[in-house]
Amino acid sequence: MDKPVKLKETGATYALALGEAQLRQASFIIERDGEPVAAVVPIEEYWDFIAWRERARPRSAAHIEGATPRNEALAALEKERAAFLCLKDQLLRTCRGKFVAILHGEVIDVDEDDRALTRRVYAEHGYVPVYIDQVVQELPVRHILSPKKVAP
Amino acid sequence: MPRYSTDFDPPAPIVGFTVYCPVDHGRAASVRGELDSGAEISVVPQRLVDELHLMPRRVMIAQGYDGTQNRWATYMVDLEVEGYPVDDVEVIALPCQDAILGRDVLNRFIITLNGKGLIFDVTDP
Repeated sequence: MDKPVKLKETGATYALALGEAQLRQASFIIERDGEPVAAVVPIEEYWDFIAWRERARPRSAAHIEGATPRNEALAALEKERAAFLCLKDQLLRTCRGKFVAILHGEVIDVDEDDRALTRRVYAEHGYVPVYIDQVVQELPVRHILSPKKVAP
Repeated sequence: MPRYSTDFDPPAPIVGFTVYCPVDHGRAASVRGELDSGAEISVVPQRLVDELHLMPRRVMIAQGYDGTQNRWATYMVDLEVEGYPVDDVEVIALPCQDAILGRDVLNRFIITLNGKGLIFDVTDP
């Protein structure tokens, strides 16, 4: 059973009287006027949730369906991507424009050269699902514009 | 010079090439791919991801001709196209039979298309 936490007005912001150790060990339901409005969960559970949500989202056939090695790798990548997104604001301040590698929820390497970073990470950490991406505000859109005829 | 493939209507410039796992060139697969200057990124058949045990590296948003956007995992692979090595190519994997060689790969070559004669050439001087 998740522990209820009462939210109190303290000027313009809200105060949450919880220590880091508490936040890492348990989930909390945040209430306002006795009504649950949000939940605080340990970050590991949040990443698991993000990965689950990505798996559950209906998408095209190329995405995660079933427990094949490919889909397990995609699920692991989603977990690392969720960590990347959590860290993104901080990364934008410290290494904007560079490429970062995320493994087990942490930044393990940074480089301006995407390919060099990838080669180095695979050499040092093995050929595993490491999330490697550029630290930019918006994800660029790539175009595959050629229409194809489909046989009737 | 290679001839356009008449498996396609209208005939298309198709090359056979090899896809390698970037960390182990012993894991390789042959595939054929269409030269497609309308594609910004190359595409490999999804079955290659399983055959070569490729690891996804990041997520990319790709937009098709009709404006539809999808998120896809990308993979880094090494290629050999017409005997020329092309290392560190980022590709997406789709449930298709044939690959697409987009401008990320084509721009590393001199491509000559002779549509009237249904022949083409791929060189890297």
